[in-house]
Amino acid sequence: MSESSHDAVKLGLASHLTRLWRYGLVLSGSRDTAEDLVQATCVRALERAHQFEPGTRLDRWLMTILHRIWLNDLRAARYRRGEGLVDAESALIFDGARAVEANISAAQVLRNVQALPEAQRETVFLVYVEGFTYREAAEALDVPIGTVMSRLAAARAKLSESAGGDPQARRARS
Amino acid sequence: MQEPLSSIDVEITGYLDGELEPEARQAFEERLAGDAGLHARCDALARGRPDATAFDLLLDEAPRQRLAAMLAEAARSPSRPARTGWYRAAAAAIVLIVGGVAGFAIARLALPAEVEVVQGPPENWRVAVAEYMDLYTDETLSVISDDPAQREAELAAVNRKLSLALSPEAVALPGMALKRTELLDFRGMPLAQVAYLSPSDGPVAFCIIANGKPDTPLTLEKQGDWNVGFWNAGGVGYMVIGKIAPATLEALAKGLESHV
Repeated sequence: MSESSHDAVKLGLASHLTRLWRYGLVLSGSRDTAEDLVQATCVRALERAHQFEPGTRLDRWLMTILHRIWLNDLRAARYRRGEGLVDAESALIFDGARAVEANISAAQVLRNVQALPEAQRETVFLVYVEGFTYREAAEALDVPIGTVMSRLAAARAKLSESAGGDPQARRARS
Repeated sequence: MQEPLSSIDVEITGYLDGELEPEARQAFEERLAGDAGLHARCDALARGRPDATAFDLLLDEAPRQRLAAMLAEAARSPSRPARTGWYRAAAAAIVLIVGGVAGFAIARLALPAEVEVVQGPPENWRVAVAEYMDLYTDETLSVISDDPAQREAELAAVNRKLSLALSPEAVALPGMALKRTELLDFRGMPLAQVAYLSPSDGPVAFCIIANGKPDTPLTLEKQGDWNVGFWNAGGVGYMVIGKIAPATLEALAKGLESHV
C-alpha cells in the first residue's frame, strides 16, 4: 500500500465523516447503526486505500463502501436478530433529529423520504441530496442505471403526492 | 404498496434530472410543448423532488467528536508514525477521550496546538461532558474509597486552577456521596468535574469551566439520556448532569448555585 493513498483516504475520511453518518442514518434509521457504519467504513477504506483511484471522487468511493457494509453485514445482522428495520415513518425524525423537529417543513420532507421503500430512499438520497449522477448512483448501489431511473421516478411520483400534487396531474398520468 | 410505474414518469424524471441524451432531450421538449397532460405530469413530478436542505439539518445531529475519535482509532497503526498535523489532532482527540476514561488529569498532558482544529469537536462543553458521562457506570464511582483528605486535595487543585474557593460543604449534594473531583481540559479551558454517586440515580456530576462567557440564568436541557442544568456567573460556566428528574435536578442546581 502506498503511503500517499493511505494518507489521502485518511484525510478525505476526516472531511466526510458527518456525511457518511447521515447516509448511515438514512439507510438504517438508527443513530447507533449509523455510527457503526461509519466506523466499519473507516476501517475498510483505510485497509483498501490502495484500491482508491486518485483523480476519482473519494466521497463516492466511501459511500459505496458504506452501502456494501450495510447490505452485507449490518442490515443482514439486524434481520437475523429479528429487529427488522426501524419503522420507516418514525425513524429519521424521532431517532435521528432532535433539531429537525423544530423545523416543520424540513421534518415533513424527511418523514416523506423516510417513508419510501428502502431502495427508493437510498437512491433519492444519493441523487437528490448528495448530487450523484445516475451513473454514480448505479455504481454506488450496484444496480443498472435503468433501475436508478425507475426508482427515482417512482419516488418522485409518491413524493409529489405527499407534496400535494393536484388531481388533474394525477389523471393525466393514468 | 407499489404503484404501476409508467415509462413516461421515467422519461420525465430523466428530463427533470438533466440525464437525457441531447437528442432525447430535444424530442422530449418538443412533445412537452404540445402536450398539456405531459406538461402537468412534468410539473407534478418536479414537485416530487425533495428539498435537499432538509437533510442539512441531519448533519448537525452527527456525533462529530465520536466519529473523529473512531477515525483516529481506525487510522492508528504502530508502524505508521504520525506525520500530518491532522493525524496529531485526531490523536489528541483520542487522548481527550481515552485519557478521561483512564481517569488521567488531562490538563497535565501537553496536547499539541492542533487540538483546537480537530474536525468537528462539540461546540458546546456540555455535549463533551455528556459524552464523557455516557462512559460512566455505578462501578466507575463505587470503587473509589472514601478518603476526605484526598477529596480535599482534589478540590484544592481545582480551586487553584480555576481560581475558585470551593469547599466540600459547598459542593455537597443531599443524599449523594461525593466520590471524586477531577481536573480536565476542554479545548484549552480548565474544566473541573465533581462526581457523585446517587444510590437511586447512579452517577451525577457537577462541572465547572472557566469559559469567560457572560452570565446566564439556570437553564435545563437534555443531552442524550442525561438531564442537565447549567448557568454562567462571573465568567465561569456551571452544570449539573444526571439521569434524574428535571425538577429534582433543578433543585440540586439551585442549591449549588447559592453555595458557589
